[in-house]
Amino acid sequence: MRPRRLAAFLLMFLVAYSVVAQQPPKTNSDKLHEQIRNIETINLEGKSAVVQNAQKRVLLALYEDLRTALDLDLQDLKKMRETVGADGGRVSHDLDVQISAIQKEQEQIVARVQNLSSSTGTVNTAGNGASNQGDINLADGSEDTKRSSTGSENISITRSGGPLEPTNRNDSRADVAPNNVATGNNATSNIPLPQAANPSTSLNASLNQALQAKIEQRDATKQTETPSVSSNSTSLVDTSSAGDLVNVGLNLAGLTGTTKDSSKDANSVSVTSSAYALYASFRGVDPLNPGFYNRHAAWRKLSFTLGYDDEKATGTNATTQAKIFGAKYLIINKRDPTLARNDKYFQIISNDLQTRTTAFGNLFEKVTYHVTTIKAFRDKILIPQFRAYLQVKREEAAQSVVASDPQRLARIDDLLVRVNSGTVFLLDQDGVAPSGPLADVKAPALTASGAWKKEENEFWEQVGRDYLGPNFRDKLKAAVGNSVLDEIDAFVEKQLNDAKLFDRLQESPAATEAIENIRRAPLFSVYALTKQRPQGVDEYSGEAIFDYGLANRINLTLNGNFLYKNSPLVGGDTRGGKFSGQFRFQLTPEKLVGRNPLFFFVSGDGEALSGRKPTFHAQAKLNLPILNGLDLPLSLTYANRNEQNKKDFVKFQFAFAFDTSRILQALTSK
Amino acid sequence: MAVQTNVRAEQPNVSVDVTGGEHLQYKVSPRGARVVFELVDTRLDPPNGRVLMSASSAPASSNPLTFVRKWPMPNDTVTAATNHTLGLQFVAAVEYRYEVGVFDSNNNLLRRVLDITYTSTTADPPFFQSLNVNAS
Repeated sequence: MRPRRLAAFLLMFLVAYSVVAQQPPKTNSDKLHEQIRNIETINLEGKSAVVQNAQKRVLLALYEDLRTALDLDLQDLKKMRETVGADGGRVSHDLDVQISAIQKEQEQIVARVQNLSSSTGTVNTAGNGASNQGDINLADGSEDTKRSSTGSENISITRSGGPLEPTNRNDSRADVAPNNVATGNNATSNIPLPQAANPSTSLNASLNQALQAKIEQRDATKQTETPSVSSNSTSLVDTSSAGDLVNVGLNLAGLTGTTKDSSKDANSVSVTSSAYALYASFRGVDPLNPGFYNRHAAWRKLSFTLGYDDEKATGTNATTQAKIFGAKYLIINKRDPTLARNDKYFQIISNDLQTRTTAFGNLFEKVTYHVTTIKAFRDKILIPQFRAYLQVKREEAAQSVVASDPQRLARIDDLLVRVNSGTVFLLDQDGVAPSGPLADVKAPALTASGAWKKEENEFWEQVGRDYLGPNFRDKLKAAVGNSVLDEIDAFVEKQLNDAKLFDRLQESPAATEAIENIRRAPLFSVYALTKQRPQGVDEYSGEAIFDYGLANRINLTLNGNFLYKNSPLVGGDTRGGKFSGQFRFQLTPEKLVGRNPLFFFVSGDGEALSGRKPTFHAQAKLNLPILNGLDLPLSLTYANRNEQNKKDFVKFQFAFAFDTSRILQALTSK
Repeated sequence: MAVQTNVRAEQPNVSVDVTGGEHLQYKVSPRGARVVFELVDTRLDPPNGRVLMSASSAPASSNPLTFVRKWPMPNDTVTAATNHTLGLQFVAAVEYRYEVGVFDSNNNLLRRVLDITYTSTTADPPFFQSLNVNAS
């Protein structure tokens, strides 16, 4: 860095901290307005990127402080407004005007922060505005009872920034009607569409991603294909639980190459919704409120299916559409997480989570503190900026002595000496900031514990916010280049190769078994389904479905059906029964992210109808996971006879099965 | 990433002037059939850490379900540096909102440290949100 640039950078830093350091700037919106105006009037046109970025970072920090200050102003206004009451006349009106003005200003600040963030590669860390403070205080979150600051007109804010940060401040609230279609027979069906407006790009998120090779157990029994009554379905059996959100199975075509079957080139679609989801929608309640969920377990037992099946009439090219209507009732559902029988499993899961959380915290600490030891980071960012920071703090300490911290000046002087010798931000033998007694933190000199001083702590927080939070890769790359990122990545990999740590980060066998015990618990349901054709035979089916995990990766599903075909021809009705069973073998382990495991199914059914010879089917099916939420089931089916020519046949089919919740998640996740 | 995040505020480190009356406030607002989370001081009681707050803690509010924890409490062990990490399980939950703020002795919010919503509609693996806490 050339001397002029360095001087300008230091000047900017000193100006920034001198204004920030004045007491009490962070809670006085007038002073913050003035400081922002002073910084914004500094003309940096044609100056280096380093200086311009410094200005933006300072402004970001000041705007964040301003938002906090305005929050406090609003709280005061709220108190005044409440005191004045509705009969306050002109005073009430003035307060309302001020409240409105300050709320408008806060919106402008959001835009300004977004603009600054986008231009510096910084994700908005300023939060969502006034209501967030209310949220975190657990105070009354109403937004119509706040007051305005007198300085709100003094600030020059341009709304040239990016879009306002999407607010979902109520997204954790219960009793709010979701906007999306509510379907599926479990509670996860009604989650409002994920809002990934600000996906995390921090070091913390990066570490989570690095851990995503861990086992995730998914409930793959959720049915995403069309029900087996559809002749184009690749399923011979129906499973007991429906999928998350809206599950749509689209069977695209039955291949003709190896089949003698004449039914081809047809499509079918079905959508399933739970009564619970509909009831929650009707009540205008968040179905994912745990209390509501627990109180209305019975509603989750019932679900409905609507769909259609395009069929080709025999001997013609005409396609007719048969409508499918169905209802399913869960008689036994031992997989319900709220059941007392599952408490012991959730306790095991909680204990496992505690161990893994601690392991992650240990890893996170090592990685973040390791950054302080990387030479390029230390030489270009940590030490020079800390020196400038200390100089500002020293001026401040020299001007006023804080009664609660009488050794402040001596401590800063000692730090200034140490910063020149590079003996600041020292780590302990574990490579993290030492855990000394609190008294050591405000002591004037380095103590035996090595505890960081107050100023080191405060500056470390700022460094974390500036370089290790959101967009940390872009920020570090811009500030010190790729080498630091490479070193961090290498360090993370080294840590994850530590078998002892990795073992604690993984899901324990006990937790895996606990989750499996819940997922393998028996389900028994009855299912009524009908297929209505505009012409020809209507079909009615009553079905009992039993689903049970026999062992790890092996699942058994049994269906028993009663069939009734209502023919318009006199005496043409048929009745009969059908029994089908399916073994599902999971060939590959569950993956944490993305695709389902590879499944192999062996199934068979037998059907006996009045006046007809029994028919039997045997099927082998391979479910190929293509993408997250998109599977390709390939099936080979043998039948002893078909309805048209009474001959046996072999039919090869493929279909695409979509799980929309997972597709949405994959599309909107980073 | 399987678990989606909506970040309103996020930083990895926080400095708390405990002797000056500052404190942290942790708030977790979950949604789902059965929520499982653990907020752990990862330096205490190794190797499993010490739980500061979990889904089995008494909620501050049941509608909406909200858990709140102030740190430090009178019985908390406070050292110059520690780490507080939140682990979130999505086996039977679909959303958690996590908020952390620094408050002064009069319970005024000084800084918003974390404000993130985590969402998953499948049984994703846990997500961890870590915070280095440097006290003075």
